[in-house]
Order: sequence, then structure tokens, then C-alpha cells
Amino acid sequence: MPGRAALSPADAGVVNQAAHWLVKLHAGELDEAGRRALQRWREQDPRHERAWQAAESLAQRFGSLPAELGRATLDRPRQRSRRALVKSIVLALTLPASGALAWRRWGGELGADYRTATGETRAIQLADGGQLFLSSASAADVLFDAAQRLVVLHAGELLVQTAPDSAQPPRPFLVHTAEGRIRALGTRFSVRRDGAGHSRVTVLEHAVEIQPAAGDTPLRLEAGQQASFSASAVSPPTPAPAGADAWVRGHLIADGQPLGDFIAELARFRPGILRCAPEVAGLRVSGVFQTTDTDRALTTLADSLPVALRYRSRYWVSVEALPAEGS
Amino acid sequence: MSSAAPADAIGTLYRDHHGWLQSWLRRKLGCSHQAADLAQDTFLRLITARRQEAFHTPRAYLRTVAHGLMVDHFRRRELEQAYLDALAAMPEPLAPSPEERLAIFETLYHIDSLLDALPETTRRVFLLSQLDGLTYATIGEQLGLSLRTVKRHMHAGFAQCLAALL
Repeated sequence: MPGRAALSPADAGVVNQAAHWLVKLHAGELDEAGRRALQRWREQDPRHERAWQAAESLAQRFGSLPAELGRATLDRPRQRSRRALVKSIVLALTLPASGALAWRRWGGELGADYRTATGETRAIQLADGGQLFLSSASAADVLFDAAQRLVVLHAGELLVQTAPDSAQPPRPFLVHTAEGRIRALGTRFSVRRDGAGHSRVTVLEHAVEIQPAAGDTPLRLEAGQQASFSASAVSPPTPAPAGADAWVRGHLIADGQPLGDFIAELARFRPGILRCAPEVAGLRVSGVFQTTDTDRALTTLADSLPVALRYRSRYWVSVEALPAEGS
Repeated sequence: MSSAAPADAIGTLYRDHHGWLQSWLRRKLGCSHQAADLAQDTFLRLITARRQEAFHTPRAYLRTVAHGLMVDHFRRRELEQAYLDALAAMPEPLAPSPEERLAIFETLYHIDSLLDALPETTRRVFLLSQLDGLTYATIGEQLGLSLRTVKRHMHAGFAQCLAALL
């Protein structure tokens, strides 16, 4: 647009510098000399000053909001479908003034926000050559920086296959959940958040170290072991069930598993409500099932066990005892 | 870059693609009223923006713009709902007056659009700092993040907002 000294993504450097100064200022890292340097930066170029003015108007806007209302509205989970839409727009648009485009450049450095829908699993290639698998209905952030390789699990389950770090000295590989920290010791392991203040770790190769957020001693967990932990303590390790990582390949493996537990597991991969009636929950299930075809898994159950499927709707299914003969 | 397109070119575009766009939106939204409104808004954008690609690949362009409007529409609706819920949960004496409510909503909507593209953790860190006024150290403690990581999130948050504001 002629006649306007517009900031384009090519001037992203200015925005980047302004953000840098803002963080320093807010972190309390600017002494007298630092403040003078900031003042010089602002005077150096009209675009610098404009960026600074924008930052001040942003602060003003935030200041005019009642914190309580802001928290209740702005910090809401964004809908996945909408986020996906936004991404497709960002990719499709070539408008030079789009802030979203500029964001993606820094976003690449910072790491992305990964999410799966119910029934979806995802494999993600990590920057260090390792792999991250995200199970159904899960959310995680990947935040690699110079000091650490950090994955934050917000919900659901993930599996990490670490790779030797090329950085020297090698950076630690960590998975954080709300309950604590898991440190990989050269390894393949999965972490799952069980909702009610618990995380569960299953080690498939080598070992990991679990450090509950409010606990003092870390616990070392070896291959073939599984342990659940809360923010304060780790429960005693138990042997990991066979096929604990089968979901990565789209399978659910049951080996004499109680039907109730199996249905709960299957429900993680199926949208809507899937229930198991208490009178059949103790039946034993064995087999390999597809997480991508839960309908078929249910039909197979009904064929091989004395149970009936009751569809209240496509999204509300109960597994119940067979009706008595002749009734 | 943009250049003026003759009015009759827009007329042709409208005649050729308006019906298609509206039925595309209707399929997406499941509501013909909203579809009609958004189709109208999409062409309005087109007339004011007058971008060349609108004439080279009209349907791709229209779909992109309509997508954007649809996303805004849903985001606004979500935000309105969250706002009404939050207001309802407020004790009577603290609740803002009707005039204030509207002004606050407009500010919320503006900030919400700035923050929408941010990953969840970045947004949370940013809000804890800008809204609650917590120090970076306290935010780090609350979320179990290192000071360095908090700074990275803040940097990304500022950069995103500034880029959108400039």
C-alpha cells in the first residue's frame, strides 16, 4: 500500500526486537543502562517507536479488563476444528499483512501445540530425530530449547521414542504432566494422564526417572514396569501389560482382560458414550482389536461373549447381558 | 499487490459465484440465514480489498475469505457464551453496568482475536502475566515451567500481538 510505512513480515525483526525488550522489561532485567538502551532503540527508527506504541496500547487494553472476566473468557480451550480451520487459512492466504503468518515463523522455533480428536492417533517427528506418538483425545506441547527437550502432556496419552541428542552436552529429555516430571534415560516409554490427578508411566525400553511435582525422591522405573503417580507420590511399580504400546499401531490387545476394563479402554477411541453393564464387567476378553474401527470391535465382542449391544443412538452404546431366553 | 478492478468485473464475479458460495456456506453452517449473511460479507471484503487473486482463482479466494469470516463468527459466538456465563457467575455488586458490558466485550473480542493463534500454554502464560500481573517466576512455579521457558512463551505472545497490531 503506497504512502504507508507498513510493517510487513519482512520487518518481523522489529516486532521481534520489541518483544525482546518487553520481556526484559517485564522480567525486571533492565537496570538504568538497560533502560537507556531501550530508549535509544525506540528513537533509532520510527518503526521501533510505532511497535512500542502498539505494545503500550496493548497493555492499556489489558489494563481495562476486569481480570476475573478476562480469565473466564480468554483462557478457554479452543475448539480443534476451529484451530484446524485457522491453520488452513494461514496456509492458504498469502496476504502480506497477516500477523498469523509472522507468528508461524516464531512459532516454529518455540514448538507447536499438538492435539488429536477422539479416535485419532498421530505420529510426530521431533526435531532431535526422536518420535512422539499421540493417542486418541490427547494434547501436548513440544518445547525444545538449548537447555532441554521438553514435552508437556496436557491430556490423554503419548509415547516417546527418544533419539540420542546431537547437541553437546546432550540435553535432557523430559515429559511434564500436571503431576510431575518424567526424565528419559535413553528410552521408549508412554505417559498417560488419568484425569483424576494421576499420571501413569509405562517403560518399554531402558528406564525413566519419575519426579512427582511435590514429592522429594525421584523413582527409577525400568523396562517392563508401569507406575502411577500423583503430585505427591509414586505408587509401587507393577509389570506392564502386554501390548501397552499397541495403540501406536492402531491396535488394542486384551489378554484375559476384564470386559469392564476393556470397554473403558475402547471408549477412549470412540466418540460419545460407551458403557459396560456391571453384571458383565467381569467377563474376560482376549484378542486384538482395531482402535480405528470400534464398531467392529463391539460386534466381535457381541459375537464371542454372552453380551448384547444396546444402541440408544450412534453415540450412546451399552454393552449388556443377553436378555434371558424366552423373555 | 492490490489494484483497482473494474466494477463490472466484480459484478461478473458476483453473478458467477454468489450462488455457489452461499450453498457452500449453507452446507458448512447448516443455516441458510447465516450463509446468506456471510456470503454477503465475503463479497463486501472482496469489493474493499480488490485483490488480483480474487479474479484469477475466484472460488479458492472466496472460499478462503468465507472461511475466515466463518471462523470469526464461531469464535465470537464462543466468546459471547463464555462472557455471559462469566457475568452470570459474578456477584451482583461487582458486575459491570450494561454500558460497560458492551465496552468490555469489544475489548475481549479484540484481545481474543490477537491470542487465538497462540498455542494453549503460550496463551496461558501470557494471560497470567498480562491479566493477573503475575511475575515470570511465579508463572513458572504455577505451571511447572523454567523461567527461560516462560520468557520464550512471553516473547512469542508479544510478537504475535504486535505483529497483528501493526
